[in-house]
Amino acid sequence: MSIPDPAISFVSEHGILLEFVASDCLVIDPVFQQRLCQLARLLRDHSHTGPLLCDIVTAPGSLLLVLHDGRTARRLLRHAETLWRASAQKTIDTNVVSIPVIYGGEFGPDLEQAALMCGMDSQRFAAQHAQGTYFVQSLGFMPGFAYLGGLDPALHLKRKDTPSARVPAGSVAIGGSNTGIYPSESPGGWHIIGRTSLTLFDPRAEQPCLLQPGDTVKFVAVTEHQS
Amino acid sequence: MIEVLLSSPLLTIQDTGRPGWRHLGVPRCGMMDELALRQGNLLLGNDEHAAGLEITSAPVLLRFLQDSAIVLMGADMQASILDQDHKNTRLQGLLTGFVYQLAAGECLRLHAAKTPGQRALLMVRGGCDVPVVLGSRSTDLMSSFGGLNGQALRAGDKIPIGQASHTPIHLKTGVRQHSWNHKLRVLTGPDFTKFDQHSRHALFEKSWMVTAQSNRMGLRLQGDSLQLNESSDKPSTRLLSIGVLPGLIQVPPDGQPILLAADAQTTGGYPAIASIISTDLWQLAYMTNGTRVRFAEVSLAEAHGLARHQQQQMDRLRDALRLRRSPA
Repeated sequence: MSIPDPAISFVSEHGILLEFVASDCLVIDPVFQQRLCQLARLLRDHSHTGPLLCDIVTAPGSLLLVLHDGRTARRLLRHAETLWRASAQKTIDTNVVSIPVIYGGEFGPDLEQAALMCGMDSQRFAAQHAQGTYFVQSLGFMPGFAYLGGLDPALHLKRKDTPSARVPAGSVAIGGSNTGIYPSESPGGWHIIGRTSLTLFDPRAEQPCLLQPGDTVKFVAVTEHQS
Repeated sequence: MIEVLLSSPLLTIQDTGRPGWRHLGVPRCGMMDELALRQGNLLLGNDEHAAGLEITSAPVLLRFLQDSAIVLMGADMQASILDQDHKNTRLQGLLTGFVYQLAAGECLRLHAAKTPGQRALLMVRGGCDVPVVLGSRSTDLMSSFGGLNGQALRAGDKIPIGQASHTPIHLKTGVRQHSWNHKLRVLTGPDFTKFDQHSRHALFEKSWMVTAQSNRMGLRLQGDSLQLNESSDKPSTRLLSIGVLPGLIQVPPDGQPILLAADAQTTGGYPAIASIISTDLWQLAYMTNGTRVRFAEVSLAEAHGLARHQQQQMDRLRDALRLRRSPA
């Protein structure tokens, strides 16, 4: 795969934004995004770069590197380039997470409407959603909320015009070209098609988030009984 | 312990925040005026990062259940020290930046804010000792964790106070609260050049009014409409979200900028026209409904120099207070 030169800009004097795709790009290649997530991990773990970094935020096609001191930007970018090139040859091992989902009914109040909008019945819609292999593009919106890429274009859905006031924790939803799971109860504009009983975010746990940038995600349809 | 007798909206426990978790979508939170928190803590002999109270509105009435030393910073809320029944005033007109001592049972009243919405800070010797969650004691109001049970403080709450260090406190020395002028220095952002000439000009030449739809997540400003260059084939917003930080100025399609603050989420999809330099971020604590704000551009090198200068000032304060420590 070719290595695109990122556009580099500063988002505050300590934050460097690396944009690898044009701003009018809509869909990110999963393999490429996983390499970005891998680069973020390498930078965090490497003894030369880890101590310089306060935060790394992975987003689709971009990385935000937040430094303790912005004056070390040049040094960090040099290391980042080396790590990026060295990682080109490596295969990426990703963590695979299976998520049990009860589709439809009271747990997925928008499933029927969503299926209708996509011109299929709700069973087929749920089956197609459960068939996909997804990957965590980024986390954002709220702690532990993973934007999952890899959604079948037949299931893409424009966000609701009026967001729901209250989406329960564990709700599996579709917004635009992404699917995702609400980790906590919140207002939300995505279409709710099901629910999982797994805990997505627990700030007191040693590993606070079930899903990490770059993870592979599969949904498994279950009945209320099985969950 | 401190007992909350009378609370006010958005009275929260905050420290220097929760950096290092943005990759999981966890916002920074922390005191809006982090500088003042650190100054007050140093004066009390606390760790700089110890947690205090952020007070957004008054009146507030607190009872100290143990002998305590406190420092107030930020906006003046006409503080006084009262007796146990909060009937008789022992001391009024407490100054910001000085240490006051309260005997067990005495109360602290914050009477009224001169400018509602401008925040005050209360630091106590030993710090607010609530559990550390993801490296910080700060209250995350959006996700309801940190602080005391993840909530703003209410009447009846009791805030545990930590063990004070052996470092003496400075009863006669004060620190100066930085004075705010609502002039924010900014760096142009990743999308600056995508805005039309009028907008790029207006950002710096016009003043911006803070609206009532502002909170710890973001301040919504009102003024000239900022618009992207007209170009038929370019989308009007970013199609993909990017990582964002407190201080970033985002412009939604209505053209009215949003200034991201301490509790801002970690990714955002609106074009980023500019960002406030970290040196000036503390001023957001004192910008409230109706405040007129102006932006001035600085270079990256200047921003780095200013950040360094601010750090050196804090280092000097730390050293100065250490030098005055009397021998044991």
